[in-house]
Amino acid sequence: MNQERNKILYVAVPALIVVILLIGYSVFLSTKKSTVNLIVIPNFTKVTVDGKPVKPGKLSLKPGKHTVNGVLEGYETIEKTFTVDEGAPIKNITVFPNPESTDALNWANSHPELMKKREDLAGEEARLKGERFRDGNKILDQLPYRSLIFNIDYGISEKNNDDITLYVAASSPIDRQYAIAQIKDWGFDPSLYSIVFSDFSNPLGVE
Amino acid sequence: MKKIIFILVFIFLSASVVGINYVRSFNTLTIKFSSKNTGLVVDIYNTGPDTVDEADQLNKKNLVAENITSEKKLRLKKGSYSVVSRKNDAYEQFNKKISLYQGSQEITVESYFSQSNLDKLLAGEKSVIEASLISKYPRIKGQYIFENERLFHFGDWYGTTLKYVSTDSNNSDTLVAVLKREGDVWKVITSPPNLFVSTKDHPEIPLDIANELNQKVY
Repeated sequence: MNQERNKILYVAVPALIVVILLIGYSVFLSTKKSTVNLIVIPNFTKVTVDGKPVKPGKLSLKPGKHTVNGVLEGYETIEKTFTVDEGAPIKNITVFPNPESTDALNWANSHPELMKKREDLAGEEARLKGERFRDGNKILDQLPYRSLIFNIDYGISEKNNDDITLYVAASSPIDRQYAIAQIKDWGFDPSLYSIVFSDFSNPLGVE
Repeated sequence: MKKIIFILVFIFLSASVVGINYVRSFNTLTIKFSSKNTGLVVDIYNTGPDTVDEADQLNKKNLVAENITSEKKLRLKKGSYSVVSRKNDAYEQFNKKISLYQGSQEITVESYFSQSNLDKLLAGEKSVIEASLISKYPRIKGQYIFENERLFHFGDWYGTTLKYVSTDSNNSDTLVAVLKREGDVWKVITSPPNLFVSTKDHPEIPLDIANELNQKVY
């Protein structure tokens, strides 16, 4: 009888494990993660992502917004948010706290190779940010634009550094209409832009 | 005996896999109704990539749930569905596609007022709205005339173009004004009315309203 029970156990337990593994695998498949590369200089900075301590290197994260914090005595505290997109290529997340105390500055001066690497990576990050800015403001490919009757130029928005304001110089109502028509012709929706008409004096005044 | 146990285990395993996959092939669609609408009735169609037209509604083609008038949760097979409201003179038709492939979804049925309903409302509100705008910008009187006036959405947004009729030819552009009802008061959002409506400058103005008004000018 006991032998019979053991036989059942020998078969039932592995079967149960297989079922649990199958369920686990199904759940795992439903939560797709993406990888980021966490670069930390100095590498003994205490870093957390979404409140959980992490080590520099590859991290697997769910798609969405995340917050990374870096704390190290004598250095500025870092807190920044970043977005992970599903299926996106691996992107670098950098945590480079600036040295503030004398000890921290001495450490930085004694590790010029790390400081150089840090500067290079920060430069690369700035370049990518510039590219993203241009990608997010495709109209910049057309600007500045000069015609006989109007000019369209741009500047960085005062409200948001990632955004632009368009400046239209056109001296008559019909020229301003042509300028707006030009923006539409390029395939952009003027309603989505902040546009300053520099030659227009609003008869209703300004707020 | 051993053989029977193996067969039973095999059946159990197979049934488990089939069962898990069957359960996982369903997702929940929660239908909610906005408090801004009364008397809306919606039906749900399994449409795939297609949309629902009047003929489909009449023939009840691909209908999976009907006559929904209040909050309801439905377990539906993974797929693409359309949630469609039945004809109602007071509101535009609600017709929204929703995908249940990735997971459970929640949808709130909310339909704007129909154009005929908005036109009726505007007739009663027009003089009050114009007075609100003129009281803030008295120069409108004598320099501009109201054109293309209309209410939007739930009658809580108003837009108009102002055609210049005075003497300053360099600044005789048609302007656009948008007001929003806040309680009993109409508040001027485009302060002052300007050459066009920018949702960048006024993020509170819905894009469809901005586009509709800008098209009247440009």
